[in-house]
Amino acid sequence: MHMRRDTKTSMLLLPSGAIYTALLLAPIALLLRTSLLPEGPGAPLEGPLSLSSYAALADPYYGAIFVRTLRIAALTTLFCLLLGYPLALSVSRSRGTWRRLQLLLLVSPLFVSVVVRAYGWMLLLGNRGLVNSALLSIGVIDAPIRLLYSEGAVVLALVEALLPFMAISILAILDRLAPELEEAARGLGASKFETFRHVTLPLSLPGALSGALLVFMVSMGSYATPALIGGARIRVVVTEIYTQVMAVFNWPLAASLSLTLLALALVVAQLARRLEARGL
Amino acid sequence: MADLRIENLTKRFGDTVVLDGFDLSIEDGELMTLLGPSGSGKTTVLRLVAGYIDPDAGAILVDGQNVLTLPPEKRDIGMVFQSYALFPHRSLYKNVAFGLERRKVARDKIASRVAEALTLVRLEGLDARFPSELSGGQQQRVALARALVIRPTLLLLDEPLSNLDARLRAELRLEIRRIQKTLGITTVLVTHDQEEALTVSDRVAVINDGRLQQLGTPDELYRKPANRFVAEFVGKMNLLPAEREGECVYRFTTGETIRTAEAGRKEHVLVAVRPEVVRTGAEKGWNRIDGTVAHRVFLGELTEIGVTLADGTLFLARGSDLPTVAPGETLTLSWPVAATALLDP
Repeated sequence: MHMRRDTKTSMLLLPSGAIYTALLLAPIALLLRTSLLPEGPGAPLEGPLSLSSYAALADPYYGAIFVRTLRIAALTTLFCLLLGYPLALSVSRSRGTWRRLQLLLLVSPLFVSVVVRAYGWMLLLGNRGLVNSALLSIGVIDAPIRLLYSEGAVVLALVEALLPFMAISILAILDRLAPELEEAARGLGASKFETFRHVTLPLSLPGALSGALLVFMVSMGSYATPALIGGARIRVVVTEIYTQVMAVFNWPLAASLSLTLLALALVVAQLARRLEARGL
Repeated sequence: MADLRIENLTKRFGDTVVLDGFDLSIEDGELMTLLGPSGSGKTTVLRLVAGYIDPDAGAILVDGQNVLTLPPEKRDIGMVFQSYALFPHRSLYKNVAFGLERRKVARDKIASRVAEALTLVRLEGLDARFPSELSGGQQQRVALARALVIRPTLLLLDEPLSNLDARLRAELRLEIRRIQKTLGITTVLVTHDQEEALTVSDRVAVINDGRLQQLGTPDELYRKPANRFVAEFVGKMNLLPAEREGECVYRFTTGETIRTAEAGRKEHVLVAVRPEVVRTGAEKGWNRIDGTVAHRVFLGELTEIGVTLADGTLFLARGSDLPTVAPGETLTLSWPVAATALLDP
């Protein structure tokens, strides 16, 4: 009886399943095969199966790129959490026009493409950008300071781009919390802060966790922002993959980089699931 | 323990006046029920007393002290919500312990007081369960234990039984009354269920449109409703318009004259008769009225006969020994003069 229902239900998965198989699983299988070919600049994409492209990743150069990628993703997630939680709390506590206005401001960055926003940051942070010009003109500095092409600038731009996702994840949970829960806590003797600490915050953590996971994953996989704002100095895994494919023509290495990044993402997702299962 | 005085309480939400100069005094140890339909303002009274909202005017005095300046956490009030509002991320034990933890009670003291509260509501051995693992009735008991464990000066119950099935409701109703009596705690219960109000309360305040309609014991409310609203809201009531003919004599629009025990002064009145006092057939010295049988239904302990009068009004009789009649039959109904009440139309 169970089987029959499962069969019928799984029919619903057919269309999306077909797309995922064709556009996700098949390319990953191809990537895996490519990664097992001998690596090297301009590698001919043939030859005996080997693990040389994975062995190449042991080079400290790639180690540093992976560490930087994780650090940028972690910092972006942290700042998104710190900025997104109060933002979500403020929206969830507001009503009417004020709430709608905040929501509009919150999602407005999503109306503009990441590339356009990255150029915006370049105009602001460049050597002749707004910030440097302003600092120069009031005499705080005598020569432009480097703001662009730094890890900080990449994190700043990523936070700006991903904050809406974090805030919306948290808001979705906060909006669903019954107001009586906070009232009950107050009535039982909890101050506003204690109510937040013992009721609102723990109950909203699942939203913060899914927001954090989302932001972390997207930061790790983002290309345009680190490419434009980090430039050649701040290499991350994704920009390195691009370089290996388009400039070095080392496809096996690009494939092993991609699969390692995917494995890292899966590990992070699994950790998040464990955290959630433990009730945080 | 404590008494509660509510004076001239007024609350507006936007242009809507929810409470309009509401007064009520509740004595120490009393169980007062606020009874009214939804939107009558009864829950607003409770939320004002608990401190979740502020009034536009008026005072709330607990033991003579105005509590309006105090935030909810300083009012020392135990509240049970309609939804129970149990903390879903805390075990049953941690839910009940919440108020004691906020009061910085020592850990071993918390354990003994939580155990005591759970014994009081007859809910032992489930300490580690989470709210989602409890039945509705159990959740209700946890909510009650959580409110009582802090030994509040007042207990507020907002429709505490409305989410339970009828059998459990009847059982927990008596349970709440037992616990309230045991602790002697001043309690305000809000409900729209007149049966609940009549069974558990010392006194009942009937509220409609933000105004007090009648305040009295369940018995007074049932036997001497102050107005048409109370008569129709509490129990079933036959209401017939009538004209004054003389001292204690009134004439229905359908022609029959009847006598009353009380001497009303108004020309136009409503005659109010409870269906339970109405019998079939003519009884000597009783008031009587004729009509055509519309229905006869079995209600369990009672049977109800509905009779259509000459002007089309439905008149009800209820009893355990009503005769078998068929729709369409002509039937005479009668009831004692003493059980004939007069109300303003």
